[in-house]
Amino acid sequence: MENLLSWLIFIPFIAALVVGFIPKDKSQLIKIIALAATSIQLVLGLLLFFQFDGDTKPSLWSEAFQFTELEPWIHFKLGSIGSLQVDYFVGVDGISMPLVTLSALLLVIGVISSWKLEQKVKGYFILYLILSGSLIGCFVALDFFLFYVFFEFMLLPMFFLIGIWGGPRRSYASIKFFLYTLFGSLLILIVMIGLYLSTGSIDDAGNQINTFSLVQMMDGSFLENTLLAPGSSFVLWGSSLRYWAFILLLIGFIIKLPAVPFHTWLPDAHVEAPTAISVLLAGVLLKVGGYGLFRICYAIFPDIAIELAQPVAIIGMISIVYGGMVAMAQNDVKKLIAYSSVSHMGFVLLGLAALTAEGVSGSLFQMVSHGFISGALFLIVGVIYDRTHDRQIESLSGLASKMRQYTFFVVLFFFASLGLPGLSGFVGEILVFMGAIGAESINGVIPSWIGMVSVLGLIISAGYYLWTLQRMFFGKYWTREAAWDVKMVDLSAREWLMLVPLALLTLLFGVFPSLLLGPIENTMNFFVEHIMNQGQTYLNL
Amino acid sequence: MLTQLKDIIGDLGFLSFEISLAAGAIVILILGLVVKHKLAYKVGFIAVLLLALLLLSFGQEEVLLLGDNLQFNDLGALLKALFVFTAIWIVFYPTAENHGSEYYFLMISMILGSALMLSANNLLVIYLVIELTSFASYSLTNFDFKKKSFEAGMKYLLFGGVSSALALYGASILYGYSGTLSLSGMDFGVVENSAFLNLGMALFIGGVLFKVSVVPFHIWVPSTYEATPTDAVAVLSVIPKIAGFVLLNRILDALNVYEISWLLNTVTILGIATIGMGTLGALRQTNVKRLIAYGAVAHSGFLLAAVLIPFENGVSAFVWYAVVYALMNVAVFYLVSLFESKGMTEVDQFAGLYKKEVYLGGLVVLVMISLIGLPPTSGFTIKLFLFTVMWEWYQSVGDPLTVAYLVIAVISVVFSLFFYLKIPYQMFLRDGQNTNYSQSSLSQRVIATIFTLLVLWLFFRPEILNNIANNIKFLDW
Repeated sequence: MENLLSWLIFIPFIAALVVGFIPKDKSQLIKIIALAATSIQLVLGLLLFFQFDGDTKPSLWSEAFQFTELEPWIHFKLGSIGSLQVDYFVGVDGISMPLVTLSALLLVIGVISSWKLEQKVKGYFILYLILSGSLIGCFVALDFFLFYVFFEFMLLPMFFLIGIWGGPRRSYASIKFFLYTLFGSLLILIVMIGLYLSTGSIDDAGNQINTFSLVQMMDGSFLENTLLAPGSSFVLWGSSLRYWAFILLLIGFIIKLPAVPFHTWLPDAHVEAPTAISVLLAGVLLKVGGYGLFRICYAIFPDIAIELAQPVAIIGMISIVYGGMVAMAQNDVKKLIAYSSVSHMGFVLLGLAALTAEGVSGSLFQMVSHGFISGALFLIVGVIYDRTHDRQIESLSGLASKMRQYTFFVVLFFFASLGLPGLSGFVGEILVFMGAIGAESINGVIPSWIGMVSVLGLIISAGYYLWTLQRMFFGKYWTREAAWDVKMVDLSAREWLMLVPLALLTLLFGVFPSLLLGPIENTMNFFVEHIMNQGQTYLNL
Repeated sequence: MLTQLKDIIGDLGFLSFEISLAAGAIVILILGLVVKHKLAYKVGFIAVLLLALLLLSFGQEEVLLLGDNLQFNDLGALLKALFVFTAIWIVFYPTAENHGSEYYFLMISMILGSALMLSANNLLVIYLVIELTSFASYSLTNFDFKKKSFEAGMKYLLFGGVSSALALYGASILYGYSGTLSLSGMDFGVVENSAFLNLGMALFIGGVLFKVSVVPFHIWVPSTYEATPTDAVAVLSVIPKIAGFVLLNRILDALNVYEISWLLNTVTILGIATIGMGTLGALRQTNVKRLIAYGAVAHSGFLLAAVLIPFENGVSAFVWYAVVYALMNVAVFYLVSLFESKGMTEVDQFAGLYKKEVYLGGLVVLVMISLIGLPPTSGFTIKLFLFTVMWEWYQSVGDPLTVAYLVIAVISVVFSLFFYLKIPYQMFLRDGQNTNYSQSSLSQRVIATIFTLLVLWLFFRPEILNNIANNIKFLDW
């Protein structure tokens, strides 16, 4: 199909426009349009997954991308800066393809989970659709400017979705979310400008043409002795500008990921956000941070990635252990899952820092599997919250005897999240550990103790999940308020519809991880090869 | 004698913009005596501005007129067109209903003063045009005839009076050392490092910094903006400021300040402080106009950065920033005046307004994120350009101060998010009762939409402005 990626991006925007013209009392129609738009997105996303060609081995980033589309957008001469060139340039490789498909899936589930919404339906779905388009745009953009525009453009809908439809402390949570992520994105902006001034080519007439193209940045077509060119003479406080740029990007993206110590916005945002938005936040938005680390932070600054592998791995390790320990202390189930997300995103950092094929593939696999699992976990919390408007672990016990189907899903996803073999969470984690512990003997960028300490995270997560199961689901059936008793009915058809696909996928990818690892294998190998080779080259300059 | 006279008459052709403004101002004043209908003044005002715009000539080489007292170039012509474009909308503001002819007389005088500021090339002329602009502004501040206005006007007048007195003193020192009033011939020869001369420079530059509201000369801004009729603020916050910056650049150039490191560093630090103080000051404001006033102070810091950058791209960045800043201010003050005409001046009065005014609320969000500098608005485009040029600035001079400037500028964006979003936050996230609120009319919504679309349009199609700018040889200030 022609222009597959553009359709993926723009269908929700078009739908948002259509919804804008529908009178606000026709809420059913609005929901149907939103569902239709996201369903088409899902179909296109699946098409992308199955049509993606995983067999070609790229040797340059410019060969790695498929489904590419390139349209000039802003082109003009700007004084001595040369030509300003921004393109509408999109494409996917093995890193972004799974994330796009994952987003498309979770976006549909999000609409289904918002089906019962009654307040301000029109505004909600307009913002939701804008968010959908921007999310996909973020994953497929190959022009830094375009990426940044989509990246920023996600913040505003998210701010209002949390701030208007959220829980009691929604305004605090939404502002905190906005300030944190905006701060991060401005750090990215600074580096983006620096990279723009440093990347490009000289045409035949001797004119300098700068570019925002991420592909050229990854392939290293830097202009000689510019700010962020490898081996340039610019030094700030004793380190090269590239070093500082990497750190700015790292902070920018791990705010989004999030990792300790920049994670504090996440529990607040999760607790206050409506269920569907929590699902998207955990399932997709966090992955934008991880994706940014892969695509921008690591692929463009391989030299610094090698140099700083150890600190990055340690941040990952701390996130895994600390996030898990904080999760254990929570009374609110949603907060517990939010902190478990911090812990699980630590694996992404750890696997990436290892810079081995296993570690990096594991890191990406973990992102996808965490998308399924955490999405489902937030839906599960939503089930309880819908019925009781309470999320305290102490408020309920013995649910297993009352809500059997529900408990089945809870047990399945809790076990998936704590890494039970046979479910997808296990695959990602084991690959990350193989990478992190094995790195010392393969490329020596990180010592193996970091991986070993991180294994503690598995025990901790088993601890808090099993403990929660015991307190809420086993034992004698009891509810804190007698009035809840009548509402404690088992899953509805709509809830089944949301949980079953996620459960199947968790199982499927757990048993046959090669379904995902196969198509991305070549990209992952190339990614690692690129970083090790080019990184060494840059370091020797 | 006769040839001199001939020269002057010959030069008058270049001055048609200014002459038609001056003549038009007087015509409107007379009109006020003859016609009592308020619509006539508005029509007259528009006619005068359009006539002046028609007579504006583009695409010529830089010329010095009337001796070398005035300097004309294309940058000036472009900015004059921008001034007309900014000012012409004020007749549509809901707060502009009851203005008499004097109001438009003062407004045109202010534009005239600012237009001359773009060209002034002589210490005395500079002083005169600053005074012309300032006196018109002082009077406009008082135009609501309320106690608060008088207080603000008095503050403005006292600050303005003191700073122009000091500037005049500075100018006299400069004259004393160089023996000429003309900026083109300013040459201090051997006495270049005299402390007294440096004092003179600092005082004179301070006088201009007052007009562009750079810290510490910004104290008058919040209360003046608060008390002045909103339509006048839309003009006051844009035209004299942009003119002042162009003038500032010419003075910095003529006095060779780019070579005097202590003075350059001082101005740079003042620029950083302007961004900082403006942003921090805005955080605690609860009055809509004061909030935007502090935001405007912070924007001055950004404009000053573009002025200080000593190469061509600084000019591009400045023109971009000036144009978009003008567009944003026209849009935001239009919205402010809409709400003001319904009695809403404090931020918390906006609570829960989305129930009544969802569409305008959406426009407010867009204009505010443009003021913050987020995509997809032109506010982002100008910040991007400016930051790009500031990176280059660092690349070319390697001064840590320039990095500090960039860092503060970037951090201020995060803070500005916090205060600019206060109004959308109240409108959408808070609940409140606005029982007395009457909805805006269709025409008001259409106008607000046009302003907002302009702000968005330059993000998606920036080459349009760039083409205009490229056709004009404005590469020199």
